[in-house]
Amino acid sequence: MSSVVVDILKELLFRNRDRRANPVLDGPMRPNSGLDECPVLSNALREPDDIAFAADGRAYVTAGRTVFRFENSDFSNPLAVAEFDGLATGIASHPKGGVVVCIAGQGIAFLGGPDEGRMLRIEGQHGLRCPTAIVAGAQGDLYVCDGSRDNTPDRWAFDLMEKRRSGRVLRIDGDTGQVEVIAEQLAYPNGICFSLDGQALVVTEAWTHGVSRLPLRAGGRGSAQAMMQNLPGYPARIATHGSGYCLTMFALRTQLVDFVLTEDAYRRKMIERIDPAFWIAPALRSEGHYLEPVQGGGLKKHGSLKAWAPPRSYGLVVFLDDEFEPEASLHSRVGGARHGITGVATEGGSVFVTSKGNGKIIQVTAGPKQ
Amino acid sequence: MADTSFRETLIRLRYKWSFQQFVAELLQKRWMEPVVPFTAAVLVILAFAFLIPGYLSVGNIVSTARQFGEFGFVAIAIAVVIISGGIDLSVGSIFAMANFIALMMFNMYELSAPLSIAVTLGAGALMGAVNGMLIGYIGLGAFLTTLVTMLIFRAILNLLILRYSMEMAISTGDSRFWDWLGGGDLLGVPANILALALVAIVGHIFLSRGRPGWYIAAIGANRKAARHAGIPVERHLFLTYVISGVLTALGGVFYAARLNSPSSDTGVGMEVLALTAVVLGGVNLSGGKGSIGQSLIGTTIVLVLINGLVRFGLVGGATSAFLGFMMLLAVGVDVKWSRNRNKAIEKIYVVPSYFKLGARHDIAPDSGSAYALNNRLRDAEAIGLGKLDGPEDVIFDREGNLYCGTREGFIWRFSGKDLETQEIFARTGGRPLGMAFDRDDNLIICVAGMGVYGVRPDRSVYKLTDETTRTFGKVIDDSRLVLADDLDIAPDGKIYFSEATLRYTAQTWATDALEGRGNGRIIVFDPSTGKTRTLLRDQIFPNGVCVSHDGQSVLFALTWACRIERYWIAGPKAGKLETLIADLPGMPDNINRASDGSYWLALVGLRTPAYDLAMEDPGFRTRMIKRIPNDEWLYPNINNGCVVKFDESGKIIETLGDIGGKSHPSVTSMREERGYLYIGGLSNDRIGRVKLSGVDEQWNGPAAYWGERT
Repeated sequence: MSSVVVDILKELLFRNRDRRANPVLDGPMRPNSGLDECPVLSNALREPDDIAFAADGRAYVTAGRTVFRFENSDFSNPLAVAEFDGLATGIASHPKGGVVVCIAGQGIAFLGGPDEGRMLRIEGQHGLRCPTAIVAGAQGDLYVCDGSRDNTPDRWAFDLMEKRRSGRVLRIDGDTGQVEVIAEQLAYPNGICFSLDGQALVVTEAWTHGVSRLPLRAGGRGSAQAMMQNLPGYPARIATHGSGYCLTMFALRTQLVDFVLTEDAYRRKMIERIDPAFWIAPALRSEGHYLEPVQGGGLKKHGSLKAWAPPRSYGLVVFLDDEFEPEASLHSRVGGARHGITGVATEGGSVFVTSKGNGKIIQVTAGPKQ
Repeated sequence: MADTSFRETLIRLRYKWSFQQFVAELLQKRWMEPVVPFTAAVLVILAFAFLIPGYLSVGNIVSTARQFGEFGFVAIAIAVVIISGGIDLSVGSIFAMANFIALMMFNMYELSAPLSIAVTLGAGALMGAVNGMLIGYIGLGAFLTTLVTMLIFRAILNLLILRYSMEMAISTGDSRFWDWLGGGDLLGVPANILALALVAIVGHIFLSRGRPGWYIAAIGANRKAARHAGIPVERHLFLTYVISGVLTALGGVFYAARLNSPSSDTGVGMEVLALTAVVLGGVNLSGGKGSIGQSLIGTTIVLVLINGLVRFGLVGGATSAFLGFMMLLAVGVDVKWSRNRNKAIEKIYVVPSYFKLGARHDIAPDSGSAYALNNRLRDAEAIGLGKLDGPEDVIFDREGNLYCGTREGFIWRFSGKDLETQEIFARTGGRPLGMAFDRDDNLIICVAGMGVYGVRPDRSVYKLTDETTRTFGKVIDDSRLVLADDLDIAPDGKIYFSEATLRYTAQTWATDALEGRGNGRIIVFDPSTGKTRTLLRDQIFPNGVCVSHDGQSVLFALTWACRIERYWIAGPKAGKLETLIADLPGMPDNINRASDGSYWLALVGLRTPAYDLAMEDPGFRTRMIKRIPNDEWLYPNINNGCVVKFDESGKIIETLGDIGGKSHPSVTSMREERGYLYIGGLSNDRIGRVKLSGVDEQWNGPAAYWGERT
């Protein structure tokens, strides 16, 4: 009873306060089935995490502990080029040729370029426990998102449910492996690229649903500038594309998950007792397992799920303009099979994304502007 | 360990009875509406009694009561009009006219008292008819029309006073009855109060029990809907203004008899006072809601306030300002409350309780347990695919025809060699759920929202029961059957049925899961006596009901509690309740007999760890319900299909599943018949048919229950 009174009072007194409510998908973000209509280039890999194109135009894809290279431009022939002791996550092309790959708990691996096979071990500044994304500067300096100091990349759901804020953005000297922290206490930085003007880094933060800009000033730490806030999903990698950006989201927020994040006792017990696959948490894929939690809108009627049901997993790629305003979006809704989009790369004007949830590599094109 | 269980006991007790639920149910009651004004009236009286010495003296009460008598008629008059969705501002002028006409008839024309009264009431009716004509039949706005007639009647009155005042001043009538009306009493009760009481009682019965009264309220609530429902709107609107005119005139008569003064400022401002009284009493200004009692409570508040304030020595203007303020307040509260009442109830209606389930069985396909899921239901042959909307239960008659009830309220029948002919067998009007055939081949059906009904072989529908004994001390009237769910018939013909929940309907039943409280009951209906009796209360969503093979006990499923219970109806244990199966891996629905002496059980949903955990945390569910919309709530997972078979000892023998619910999610019923198992689902679009192997292929339900027909 008393909480009802408090709720009503709050409603009256703070009518316009920002409650970080989960925004509706509207305008350029209006749901469509665009992502499900895009051509799939490869089904060959299980859980492809991130993608990059080397200067020679060949695609490299990380999946689990392995890095694959597609020898043909039609993505027909994946070849495992390297296998590591830790998870291979973020990958980016290197200006000198080849690609750089983040290896969780290890460091940065160089593949396909002049430094082929080199492993840059990272031990300074608490090491690289949870690398998520990487980008290489023209001088060979590397910028890496370290998602969390508490969890490894495969335990991202724990990081969300434990409400960690221990992510960092690191600058790593490509020659010496010297580490410099340029931003910390971030909520799972999960994607990085250079801004269009080259003056700043653009970093996505998954747990705070935002994209921010970190000015690159020699030596000093820049102050972060929020470019997007309160996104409807959990952002993953981001890449520049033409005169704008292409942002991936690996899952949508739901009001239930946002609510569970405010329920400390429930979350604690859930983490203690329940297999993470059956948590009330976002997922990269959802096949309707009988132990998964179900929400009211997700009850089957006449044997089918509605596309608007609260999504446990979702596929979303958003095209942004140079000021980070969404221009168009491609969706794979409930019932679709291109969920858990994590990786993105651009090559020759085309955009390629990886659906980690459904094991697909997809070529996407922005639909007509809405 | 002991410590945790003690804590759990405390939590369980804490959530067993809920004050919030009590309030929510109380707020739903219609009689709750006058409670606030009534309390206010009592408080006001007590306050003045405390502040003003001698306030409750007999003299003061009688003098207030005399004013009350006259004013009360006007308040009732205006209340009737407001309930019909209109307003009557001309009551003050009609009151003054009536006063004048009564005096003129009685004093000047020296008519007898009853005749004078009759003429006055006639004049009141006429003035009301003018309003009613303009508003009801011609369709003018009530506010402006009565504002204009208020001015016109007042102008006519002034002309009449100018013309006749001299003659009236010198003449007086004489009648003991007239004097008694003005100043007499019966056993100390003033005459006008007696009349008012009589009018109030008759008026209350008229408004709340009679057809015209219901029509008037219906018109006030929604005029368009009333017209579509075939109510003669014009006539009833006309009627309300005539009633208003007559009642106001009656008030005027008593005023005339008491004061004998044809003054021109009689009744000035009376319409505002009466409005204030009615609104303070809780009559809804937008129409459709209110009662005579409420308007009299409001009248009491207003008169006591005026009287008290005057005795406090407040000047006239201040009293009016104060009353105006009260009216504003009352109107504000009325508007806000009537708009938000349902929202407020909604916010506090769902009251989760503590419920801890035991460990979950491993039901994985490779678990090797008796519950191990498989996909035997997935390839079921579909019957009526796409033509059925939610066949909750399925059943066969002696001839081998298949019946099911769907969401539209239809009972469908499939007949022919391969059940290829589909036709509507009967229409129930509610949501048909569980079904059974009785000894005489009548199809007995639990119809959600209605009760237990039967369909004879000639397709005529009849009622068996729709109410049971009311629980003493419960706020909500639980005598009506809200959600009769499943039934079975004992060898002696008694019908045992479950009522899943008293607090939700066939549309909102899933919300009951979030409460996890014992909201349901097991009821028995005896056709030989026609009596319905509640056997077991406070059951957690009792669902499927099945009389055991030996007819000695009734098995029933508690859906949210994931249990099967056995209630003995005969033999040495008669009247005892036992748990047959506890901690099922899913939510049980219907139970039906199997050919080999065991039972089929539908699991409508499967338990999920996140949901089980939420059931242990009522606070979590309460906050969830308040903060996020229904579609986002955590629900039981009913997207998979599962049917299990258990024997008389409660041991699980066999499992048939549909992992992922491709063809049969949320299975609510199954029926074995001549070697096949037929599958029904509450929200599915088909009936499924699975061939069973190694069973008696002649076995069928009607014969098993009632023997072969000779």
